[in-house]
Amino acid sequence: MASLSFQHVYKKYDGGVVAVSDFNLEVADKEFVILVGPSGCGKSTTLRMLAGLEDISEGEIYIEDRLINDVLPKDRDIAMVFQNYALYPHMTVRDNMAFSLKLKKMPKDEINRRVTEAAKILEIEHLLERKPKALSGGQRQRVALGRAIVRDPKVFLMDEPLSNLDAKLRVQMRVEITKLHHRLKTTFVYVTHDQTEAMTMGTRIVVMKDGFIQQVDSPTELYDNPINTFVAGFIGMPPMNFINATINVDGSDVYVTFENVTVKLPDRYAVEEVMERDGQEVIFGVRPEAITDEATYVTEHPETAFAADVDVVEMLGAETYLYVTVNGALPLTCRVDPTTSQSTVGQVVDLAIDTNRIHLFDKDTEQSIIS
Amino acid sequence: MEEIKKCIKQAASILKTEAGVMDTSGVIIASTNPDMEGQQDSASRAVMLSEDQFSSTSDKSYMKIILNDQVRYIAYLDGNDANTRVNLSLLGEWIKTVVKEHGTDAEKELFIKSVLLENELAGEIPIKARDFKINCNEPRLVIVVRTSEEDGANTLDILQSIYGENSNSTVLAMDESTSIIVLNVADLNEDADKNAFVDETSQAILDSLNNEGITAYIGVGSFVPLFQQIAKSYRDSMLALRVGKIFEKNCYISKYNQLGIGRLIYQLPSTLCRMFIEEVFPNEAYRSLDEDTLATIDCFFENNLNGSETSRELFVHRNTLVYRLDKVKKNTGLDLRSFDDAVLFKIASMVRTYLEYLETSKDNMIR
Repeated sequence: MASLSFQHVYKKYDGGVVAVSDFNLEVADKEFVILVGPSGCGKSTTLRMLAGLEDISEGEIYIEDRLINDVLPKDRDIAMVFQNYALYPHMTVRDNMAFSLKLKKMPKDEINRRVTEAAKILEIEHLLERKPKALSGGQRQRVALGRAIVRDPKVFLMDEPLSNLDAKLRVQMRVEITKLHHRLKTTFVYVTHDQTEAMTMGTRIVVMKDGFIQQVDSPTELYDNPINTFVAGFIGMPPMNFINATINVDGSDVYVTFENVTVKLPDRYAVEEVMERDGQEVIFGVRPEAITDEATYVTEHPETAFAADVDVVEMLGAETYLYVTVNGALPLTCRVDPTTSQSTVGQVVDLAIDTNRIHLFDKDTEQSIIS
Repeated sequence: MEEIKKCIKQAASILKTEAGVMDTSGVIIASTNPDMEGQQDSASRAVMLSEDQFSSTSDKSYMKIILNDQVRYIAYLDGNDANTRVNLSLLGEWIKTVVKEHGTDAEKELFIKSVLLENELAGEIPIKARDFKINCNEPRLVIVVRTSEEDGANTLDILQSIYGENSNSTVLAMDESTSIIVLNVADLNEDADKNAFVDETSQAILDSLNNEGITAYIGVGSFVPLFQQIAKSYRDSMLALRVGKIFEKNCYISKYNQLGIGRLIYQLPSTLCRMFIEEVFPNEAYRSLDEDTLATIDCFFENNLNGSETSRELFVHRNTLVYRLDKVKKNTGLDLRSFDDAVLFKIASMVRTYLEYLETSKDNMIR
């Protein structure tokens, strides 16, 4: 169990390439923090610096209150789990789990105790005498987790551990890892490029891009209040619709206009940051679920309603995605309720936006206009 | 060693008593009681000094195993009666036959190392290989793993745990920080198979070592069709390791067949490189480029010379980027917005990196 502290951490390579820039993060004891971002954003490099597998160019990393910049990886009291299970093919599950402890010359009784305990936690006691090739993907991943658990580390580091699993198993293992975190009550740092994994598992999420932290927040805050278009577009599936729109102010009312559609914004947008942009272009962000084709809602909210052509309807059971085009030019994605939606392909459908769930971003900086 | 261990394991089921084999220094290398392995036998010194082949203490009997007039191992059995002596003779002869049959691991390793370092005559390799049950007509791939010296022993343990029981593959230590894996790849046919195999294998090795807290650099050689040619694969793997480390940032796995332009630059004589640098950057013009400018250039190249993307990624105004690129043009004469100049700058930067490597590296250590 340990807290972590990253203070102005940089990773620079020869020739000026900066993989991680001014990374500052405080992770509380027992927290489950997710580093998420597209490929090349520096998330794995950050994790590897924490693990000691990568040198730190500048800045300091602390585990509890101990500066670990120059501490050898094996002395940092951490355990890593990789996408690759990295199991030894000729060893049994028991021997695989015991291997790192044997390298540390730990007494046999203690090794046995730890392996048995970890196997019990992961419910793989019946697999202990099997070899990796006789295990399924999920079972192998559990063994890989078991190898980390037996070390009894202060911090668990996981680098895309579920990427090798099929979609169904991935969902199952997501739950397993979350349960494991609750059970072990240890600090977890987890790297993924999959925003669904990030949203479902983490207590806090660090969104990264091009080596910079974009936003650190709880999953709900990231979803509801993204600070820029990158975070807004990265978190959420289907992604947020971004519409080039113009702000129009009429007295104390604020409107956005796009493709001959005018939408009145709620009163909370009648603030200086928005009003001063009268006549200026902004990026209007609308999540797919904030656009509805429900007749009652559309009738009751004429100030946010507009018509669109339905191009594609995707029925997913619990929800339906409508891919529509406004005035033949602006494509939008809507997530609607299949029990009330009557929309069909080729139809012109009336839609309305729930303006309590919209976002405005500056066109140049792409930062959120009001927080 | 593995063969001797197997032998002792089988003996255990027949003899129903503790049996084992130690090396000439008295360290038990195989025992029916696994706890004893690695322990020192206190009587070994006396046994070695004795002129007799058989010796005994109050509870154990010992037999020297002599090969080519040299004591190579000492076999022992619990007990010191006549029956024990008979059993020990049988066990000793059995081990002798096994060792003769397979050669010892140490001898086999020495032979493979000798082939890797090109110390064997080409014509003699197949003949000697036959003694070690090595099939020369199957393709091989050499992978070199480099770590820090203090991690060398653990690295070897880990690699042997991955490949140790695979009789087709050999793991050996070249020095304290370099381990070599010679893989038999007879099962691979298609090029696609080979590429996937290289990717998976090298990543699995790296992850296994990282998992134990070991930072490693891996060089993957070329596939060779015969065992006699493993020296070439070894040379290629070392070249890959070196070139990867010089030219690729964040590079832990370097593959001989994917070295890119670094392969060409690495082959150039340093005088030619210096002439080229003097031509592109007269009067060491590159020294005028500070860290920020270099980072900007790198980002500009990564974004395919796209100014908007670069300025967005660097959080700078587009005009700032234009100013920086103008400054590069003024200092070096190269306008990076032009494709030809950008290519020239990129290659010159790599050549400069190579020259810096030549100046700073006093030996061939990659770390």
